[in-house]
Amino acid sequence: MIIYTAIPLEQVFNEHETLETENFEMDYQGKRIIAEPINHHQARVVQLISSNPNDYLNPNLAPGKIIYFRPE
Amino acid sequence: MTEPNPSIAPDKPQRPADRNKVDEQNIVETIKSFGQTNIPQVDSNIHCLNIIGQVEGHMVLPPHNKTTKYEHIIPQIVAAEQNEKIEGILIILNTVGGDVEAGLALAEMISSLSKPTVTLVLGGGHSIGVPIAVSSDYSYIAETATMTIHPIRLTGLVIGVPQTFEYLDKMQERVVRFVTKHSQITEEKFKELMYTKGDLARDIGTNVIGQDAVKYGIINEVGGLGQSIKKLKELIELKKNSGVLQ
Repeated sequence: MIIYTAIPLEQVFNEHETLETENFEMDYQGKRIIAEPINHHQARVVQLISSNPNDYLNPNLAPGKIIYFRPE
Repeated sequence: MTEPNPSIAPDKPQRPADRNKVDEQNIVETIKSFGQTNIPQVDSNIHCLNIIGQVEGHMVLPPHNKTTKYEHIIPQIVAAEQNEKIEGILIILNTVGGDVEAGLALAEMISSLSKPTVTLVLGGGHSIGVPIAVSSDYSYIAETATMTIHPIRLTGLVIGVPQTFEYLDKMQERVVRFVTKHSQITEEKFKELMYTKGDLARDIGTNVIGQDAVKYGIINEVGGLGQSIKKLKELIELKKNSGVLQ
């Protein structure tokens, strides 16, 4: 292990703070996003992963935006 | 033809009104979650890479950590290199450090980009953030930003075997070589900062802030976003005119 950060390692590797839901990565409108599932056909955008600064101006990809999809 | 009157045809959906309602809801949602309404879109020839939180390498850190994953960043760098519309890349750093190998991988990827690159250190560019900060063509540091330079080691572990020590020494040499090759700082000075006692509370190393990073030659200039974009545009122009980037 060669991680070295300013944050105490106990805090970095503390697994106790578990998230209520498991966030997942997906492609939405051709962009990579991290989403938080709400139910079987809805999810909320948590984070957009893009190097294009203009994507961050797109309200459809903004964090908090609810997206709809049909499970396969 | 006149617009349908709601009092005449109450059953028919009122399209313009509906759209307004949807727009309104969108705006409310955006304000709630983002704290702002949207700004009109314009094409950008400059792309932005963020190195934020911990630099995550081979292992996945627990989900409460804010991390920069190299599997996210590296494809972006490759795409930026290939995409002809992208002319320059701005790299914003606010990182506490993290995985040495992943950090060096990112630094090497950025330094080998053929397109002009400018790094801007905001807040912190600690530890393995240092080689990433110097990997660009030109680097800026915010006046209040800081960089911690320290030796590589396994925190809290007693190094018992000389092989382990040598392995770490070689690992550290890679960082030192990369930083001295890509910035103005000399190896002697960098190592001196690395082994300084009394600057960090429970560690050896130095915390260099804004102007000091420029003084030691790690970073080119103190500046912010405005200067970074301006410099990037200058570098893009320079590349367009000469075809070769210095």
